[in-house]
Amino acid sequence: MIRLMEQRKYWYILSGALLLVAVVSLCVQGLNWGIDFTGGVMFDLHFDKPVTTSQLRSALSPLGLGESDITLDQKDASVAMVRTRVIDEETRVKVIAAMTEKVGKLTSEEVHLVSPSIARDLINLAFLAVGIAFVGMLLYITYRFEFKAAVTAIAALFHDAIITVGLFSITQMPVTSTFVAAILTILGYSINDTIVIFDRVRENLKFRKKEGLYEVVNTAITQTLTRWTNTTVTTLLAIASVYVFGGRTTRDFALALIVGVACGAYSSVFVASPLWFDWKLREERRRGIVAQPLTAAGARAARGRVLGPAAAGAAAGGGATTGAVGARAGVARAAGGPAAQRAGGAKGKAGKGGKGGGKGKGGKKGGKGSRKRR
Amino acid sequence: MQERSLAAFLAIVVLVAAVAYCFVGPTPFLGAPLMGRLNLGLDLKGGTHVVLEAQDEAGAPVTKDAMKQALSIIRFRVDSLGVAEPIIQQSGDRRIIVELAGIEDPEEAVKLLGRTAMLQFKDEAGNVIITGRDLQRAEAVLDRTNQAVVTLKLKPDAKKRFADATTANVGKPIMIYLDQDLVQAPTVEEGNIEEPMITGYEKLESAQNVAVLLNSGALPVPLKIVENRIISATLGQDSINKSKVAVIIGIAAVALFMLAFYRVPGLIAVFALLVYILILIGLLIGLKAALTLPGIAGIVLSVGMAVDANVIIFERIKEELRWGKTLRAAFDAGFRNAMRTIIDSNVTTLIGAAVLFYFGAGPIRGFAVTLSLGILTSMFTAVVLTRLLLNLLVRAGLIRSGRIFVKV
Repeated sequence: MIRLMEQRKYWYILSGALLLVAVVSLCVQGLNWGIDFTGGVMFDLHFDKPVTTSQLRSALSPLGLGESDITLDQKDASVAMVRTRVIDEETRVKVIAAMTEKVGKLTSEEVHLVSPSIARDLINLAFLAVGIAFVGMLLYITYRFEFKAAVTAIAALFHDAIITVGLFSITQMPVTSTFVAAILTILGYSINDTIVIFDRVRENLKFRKKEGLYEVVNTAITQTLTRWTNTTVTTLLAIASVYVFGGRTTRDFALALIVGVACGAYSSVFVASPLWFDWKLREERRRGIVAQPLTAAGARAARGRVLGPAAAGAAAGGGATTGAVGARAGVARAAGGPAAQRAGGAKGKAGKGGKGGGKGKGGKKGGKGSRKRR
Repeated sequence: MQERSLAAFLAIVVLVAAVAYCFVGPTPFLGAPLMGRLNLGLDLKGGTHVVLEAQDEAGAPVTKDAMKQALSIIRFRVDSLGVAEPIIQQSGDRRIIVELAGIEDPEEAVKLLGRTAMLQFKDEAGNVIITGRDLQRAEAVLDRTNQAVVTLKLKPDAKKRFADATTANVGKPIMIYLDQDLVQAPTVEEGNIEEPMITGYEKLESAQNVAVLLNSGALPVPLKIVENRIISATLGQDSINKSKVAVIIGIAAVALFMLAFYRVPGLIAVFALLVYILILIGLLIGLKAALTLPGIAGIVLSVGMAVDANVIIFERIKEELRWGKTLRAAFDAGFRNAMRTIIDSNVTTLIGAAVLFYFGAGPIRGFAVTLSLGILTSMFTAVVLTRLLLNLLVRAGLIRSGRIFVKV
């Protein structure tokens, strides 16, 4: 039985490390902003033979463009990207002419001009649109689930966005308007994935509440694990194909999607769920009571389901701090490390009976012979 | 009941196969394969993409009327370029997007579009004799010496004015301005000229461009080129070829995985996937949406995600079977519970897409459209179609036990 929630400390550390790397790279290197965001002219030149940056630079200098950004394609030295400030039509024509005369014959060329005003609009619109989309999703998830679920789901989105942007910062891949599309796709996939898991948690909360919060979340994840793996595999298979077989122009986009989708899948299980769990745990510990009463019917419903070792931790923790029956009347088997520690050395069997004495509900539990046998 | 269900199932399969064929092969009632009707984006077919922005002038702010006028002037100019299927749209309050495929001299064409084209004839003293508004028609012709000239037919009331001006200015130059640039300053040789001429063009083509400009009329507001992309057709073709391979392999990989993991239900899921792709392409063709390179990658991604609904359903059915339900009960419960999951997760994503569509522009909006279409279509094919087919198979007796699921 997989005990993902128990190990959430490690997931937090991993996520923290990834986020740190991303942020550090952003602060140190920043992003390689394409002309879609800064304005300027971009020449995409395909020569009939490999060329060098110095050739290109000496062809550009007489036009006053010697300082321009020149990069050669990593895999094909006959493909060059030249990026200049905004220049007029005459100069652009002169650049192409200079290339043909001084560097080599062009098999094809592309010229992209973006003025700073359009670039600025793109940035503003992108942020505005994403911001409002977040708010919209927050409202819907709160309506269908609860506020905590909405916040943790969106937090997972931020996590994915920062890491993907960090990837662009580390690799210095040029940031174009397709980059915006990539980020949006990743966020869409990630939220979709997260909600599927939350939906199962919601269902388990309804029918297995008494098993304890830990059990609810852990089981939810375990139950959806196959689906989680399969969907991630099919999606990555599809995108990997684009990365490997698609052309040069989609390579960066596909790489961003691969990393982003993997990140989005990871965050649904290892970020959003544990965060929600911890937050919910804190709330329930504070309240010290369970939302739903423990009933015999509920226990019968729980039978026949796959039950895992419960986190008496949750129960014990509640008991230790509030003196109440850790609202987790559920299965109070020894859960292992964390549980034992939280119970402050309580014995493996979170003595349900003993704790039960603290509350009226204990009586009911006392009657459950089957429980005690555990 | 058994035979009817089997027949219905087979009928659906045949229907889908027929529709699929219509996309890739010629048919008597549709003509060429439907795939040919798919509108390709500029990055795939090559061409020019220009965005013109109207600028406020002192005392002449950009108004809705001005934009309407500017739009029709631009249309006129684009038409004269003789490009097949140009795209001319207004974007926002003050931008016009023009997309032209296959132009020989794109930079020249763009210049043509953006020029204000304000014509003025002035005398030495600076008095305006005639302007573009007095022009009836401009024409580019070759004169007796085979030189390219632009003849200007003036409106009746302007003819007299011009004739008088030439008479009054014999021996003196008359200045011809186009957009405040001095184009020519010929000396008037004789008076009473009713049809002025602008001479000295190197190529007939240049003269023709000017004629088009003058005939289209002067733009009511100056247009600035804020975005200009010249995209190569050869690169586009290369991208198309590579994309075809990527798409086929990507879909094949997903299909193989589903078959391997889910066997017979997996086959149904792959079939539903085929229908999904057909519907998606059909929608794109119907909406005349342009397919761009990121769009292709997006579609491949959506294929990987479209199976998600099927995976959710199948896994749920497996669970219900494991909990001891009968095949029919497991199916029903599986679909029902899975629906709830699918709807919640998809609606959340759709909300995001809707917002992006409303607030976004250009590429962001296009992305929102494909994402929304993909989600809605996959909800239909994965839920409605798969359920229908599986039910038919069960009723036809071809799926008898839950072992078809749990065995995996």
